[in-house]
Amino acid sequence: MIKWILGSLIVLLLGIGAWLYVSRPEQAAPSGTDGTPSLPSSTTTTDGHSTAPAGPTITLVTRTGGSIAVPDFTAGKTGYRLNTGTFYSITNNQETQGPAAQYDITYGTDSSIAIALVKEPLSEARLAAETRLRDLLQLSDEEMCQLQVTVGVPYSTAQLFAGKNLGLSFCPGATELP
Amino acid sequence: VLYKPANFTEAWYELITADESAVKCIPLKASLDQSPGGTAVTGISSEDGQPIVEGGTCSVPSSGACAPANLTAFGDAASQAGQVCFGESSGVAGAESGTDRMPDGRAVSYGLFQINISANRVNGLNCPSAFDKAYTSKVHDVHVTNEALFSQCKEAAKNPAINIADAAALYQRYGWRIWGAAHRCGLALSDTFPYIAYSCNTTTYL
Repeated sequence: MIKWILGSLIVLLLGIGAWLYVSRPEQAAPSGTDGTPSLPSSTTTTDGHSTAPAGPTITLVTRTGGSIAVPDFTAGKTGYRLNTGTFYSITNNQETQGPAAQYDITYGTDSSIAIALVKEPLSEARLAAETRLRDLLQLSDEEMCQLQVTVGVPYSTAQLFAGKNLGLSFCPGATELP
Repeated sequence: VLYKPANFTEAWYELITADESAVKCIPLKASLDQSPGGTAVTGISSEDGQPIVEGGTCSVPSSGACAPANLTAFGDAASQAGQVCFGESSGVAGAESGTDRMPDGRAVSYGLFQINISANRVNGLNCPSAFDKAYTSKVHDVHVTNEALFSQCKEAAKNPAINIADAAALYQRYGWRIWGAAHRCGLALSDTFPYIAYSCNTTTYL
């Protein structure tokens, strides 16, 4: 009798375990540019990105309409919805706040990446932002030049350069900065 | 080759050529319709020689938070708003002013249009009441008196949708003249710097 009860309990526990496994919540999937999940196995890279990044990715549309997969750097970030997409601040407080802040970066699901240089000397701020961007995107300079990246200087930081897209320093057409 | 002086407001009248000889320039004073929806100056080429098409000389982002498609609250002025937005924040939604700061180091201007929360309501919040006085170009000794409200206002101003809506309301009330970037982009004139362009020989610069 005891053996029968123990056996029933084991079967019951195995059944509960199997049910819990099957009904577990799915992991939050990263969003691609169109809001659909994008995983490395389905990544398409049409602009020469030689190796697909490991882990969850997002797909950025390039200036020429191609696409490049990069690691999903939006995890845990708060997104704000506008007409053309959702926008995320992808830098942290240490980078963007206080007297030591040099730059701030916003990513939009319209494939835009906006960099604001908020401290002079601007050339150093741009280099620091580029280093951070390289780390986030894990792309070569040539690949980054294909993306829809704007580099600007807020009016409050340097009036002379405000309102212009200065470009990444290593891309064609970049503005030389002091 | 002509080089623009580093300090635009103090040495704008004199350009230095490649051979280091000075070229005197003539200031051009233009009249602008600064009322909301008014047209910016036209007929003067921007510094790179491109004609002004829609008013203003700054970049109009084709993508990002400052793209005109996100600024429909400004109506027909969406393209100009794109320039001011990009000039003020470079399209960074959470931008904090690098200069408009209180003695404790914290900023008073936030977001796409760098709204001064010590002087303006944000998302219906009475943000000026979170400070002992309004931060202005002459008054910098400003302190927070209500930390909770300050935090609420700061977060609201860094929300791009809220920032755009409130900026559009400010634009409807005051026009472009309250934004420094609008002056830089040739969309507004200031009393202290009423010239929007200068002519050197046969070349016009903004």
